Amino acid sequence: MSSWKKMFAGGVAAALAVTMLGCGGTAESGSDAKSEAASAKGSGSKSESEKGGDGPVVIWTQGNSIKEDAEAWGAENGVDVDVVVIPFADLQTKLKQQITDPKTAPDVYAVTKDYVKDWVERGANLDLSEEFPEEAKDYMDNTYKDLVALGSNDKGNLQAVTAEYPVGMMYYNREIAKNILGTDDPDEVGEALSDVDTWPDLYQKINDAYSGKVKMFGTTQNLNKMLSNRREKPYVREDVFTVTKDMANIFEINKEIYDDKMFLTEKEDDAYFAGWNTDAFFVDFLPSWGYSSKFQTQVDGKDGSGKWGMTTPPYAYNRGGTYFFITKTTSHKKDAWDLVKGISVDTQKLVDVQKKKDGFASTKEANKILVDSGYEEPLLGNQKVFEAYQKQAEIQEELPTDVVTKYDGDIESFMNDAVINYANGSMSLDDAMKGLGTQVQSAYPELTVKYNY
Amino acid sequence: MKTKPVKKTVMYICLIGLAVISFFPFYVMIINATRSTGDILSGFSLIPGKNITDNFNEMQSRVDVLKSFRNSLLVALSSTALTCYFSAMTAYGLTAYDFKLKNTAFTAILVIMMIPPQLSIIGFFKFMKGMNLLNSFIPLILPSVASATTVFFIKQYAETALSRSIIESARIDGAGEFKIFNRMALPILAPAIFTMGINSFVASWNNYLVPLILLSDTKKFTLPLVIRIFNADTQDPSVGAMYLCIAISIVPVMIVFFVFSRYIIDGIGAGGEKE
Repeated sequence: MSSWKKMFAGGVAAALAVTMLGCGGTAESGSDAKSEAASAKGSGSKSESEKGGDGPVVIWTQGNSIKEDAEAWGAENGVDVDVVVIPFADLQTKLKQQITDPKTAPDVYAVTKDYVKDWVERGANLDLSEEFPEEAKDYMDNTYKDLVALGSNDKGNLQAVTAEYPVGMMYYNREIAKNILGTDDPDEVGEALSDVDTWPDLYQKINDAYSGKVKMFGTTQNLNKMLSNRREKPYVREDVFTVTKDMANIFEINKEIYDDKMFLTEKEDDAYFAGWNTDAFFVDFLPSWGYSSKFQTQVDGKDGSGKWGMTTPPYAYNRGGTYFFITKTTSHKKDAWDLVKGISVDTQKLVDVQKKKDGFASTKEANKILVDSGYEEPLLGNQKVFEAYQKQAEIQEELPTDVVTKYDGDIESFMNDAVINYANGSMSLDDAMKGLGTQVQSAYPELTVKYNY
Repeated sequence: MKTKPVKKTVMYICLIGLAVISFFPFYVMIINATRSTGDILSGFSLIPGKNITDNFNEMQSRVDVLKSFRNSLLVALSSTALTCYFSAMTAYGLTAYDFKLKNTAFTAILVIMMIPPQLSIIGFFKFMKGMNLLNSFIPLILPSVASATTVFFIKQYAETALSRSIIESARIDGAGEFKIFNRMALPILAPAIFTMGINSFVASWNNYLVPLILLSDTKKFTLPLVIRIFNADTQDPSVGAMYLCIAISIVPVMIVFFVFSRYIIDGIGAGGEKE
């Protein structure tokens, strides 16, 4: 009996202790936190009562690299920065729920490309062109026009800035290219693959040469990220979503690819990652940030090292990239802007970061320094990687900038599902196209759906 | 007689097979916690890697996992203690006393059980914001005082295990009502309390949605939030650190199950008995 008594007395004591601790936590987020924040640069926390400009600058992001950069910037500049990393899907939900309330909104938040237009149009952000006109203009003049267009509202005022130009590249296996095309020169390989209609014949040659052991593409997921960017008009115009012939064409290309089993996997799974070192596929499509996050981690020090090259894809595309917004309600306007500039606009910072990960910066000034460095990447057969990005960026500068809408993230996700359903034979083309329209309609009841394919 | 050992052997082989299948995912998780991100993404292996220190350093550099572990432990233990004690008290009250609207109260508890918690989450968030309790552990712990499911389970158990004559004898001996509950009822209800306590601990330990909505201060993050962070960054993945974090996170759950599993069986068995 006594042991029970002790056990439950302990339980109640624990409960009371927790309540006290919890109350202590609330107090901490009040006045005590200020002193804590002051003593622990870069790791403090902001609460409601601190938002008078004394608390840390709070950033919500989904990326760890931003956390490192922001904390490093905070330490260098003596500004207390609190970076909250939130998974992608949850970040959207949490932002929508809390961004308009000064009690709960962060000072800065970062979202990926597909959702930038949505957040630009929500009106919850500091207008950088109005607040910091000269610096905003400098950024706009020095940055690639599609990045500026995406981060600007319909008046052309800058709302968001980015550190990276995620130019889309085509990676190819040099040995297979030599064997099939007789060359591994990037320009010639790019040219040989530029016409979609020639893909089946090319795949036939690969099949004959490697007895079906080598696939043409790594994943259909990455292939479709490239194909879907070929549109010249936005998915949604004047509140009308139109299922177009261009979309039907993507469906048909995929059907052929599935019928001939031209791909290794649908998504980036173990087989795909292993394929970089096992000659399992000929080409794959990754943006500039894909070099460090997907390619390098696989091939560095392994069989695939030096076997690959990168070139112009059949259709120019951007994929991903992170954009920084400052909230309207922030009490740290200056610090927030300095922080955003420090990690995403500052030339030397951009050069250092992109040099380290073989990426491509958002500003032309930083990229000129990278290209002029003449760096040759051993993992890519000593290819001049920044030069390749620069060439692709020049192609992308010619593309229309007004094709991105706030609906793109969801529409592309729905389209990817519909494409797979048609390509793998689960649905007819009509059903898949109608299904796409229905999904868009249910997600956005305010849109009208039209079919023109 | 000769068939018995054969049957037994087959049974053991099947059981060992099932045990291996059950344990296999945990083994892979532990192995992956020792491998680098590149190795994990390249393919499957049953042999441990050499990257556990790197993974640990990477894990701690991204998020203070040990602090999150302490936060989770604090929340889970406290909410479990509150759930067990106060649910047992409610169940005892519904079993041991006759009072007006007793059946209505029990029906209300049943109705509350049937409402999905997700429905009330937005209202709960607004309520907590109004109370100035965001970024605090209180909203994660205090609501455990009222757990309809636990009350229901313990009450059903109490109806078969708790005899009114024991309560009456205690009263005759001069014990107060609170003392009777603490010294007589609680030990009798122990199997049911342990069963629901384990469930409550695991549910609180794994709770993702409520902390996600209520907590924005990284110092207050619980483990489920932290684990998702490792999975969040597609541009800079750290799969090895994520597996290590998951491996650390399941340790308390494993301990709870190993230590208290017999109480679960007792509780389930006892709940099924009727006199």
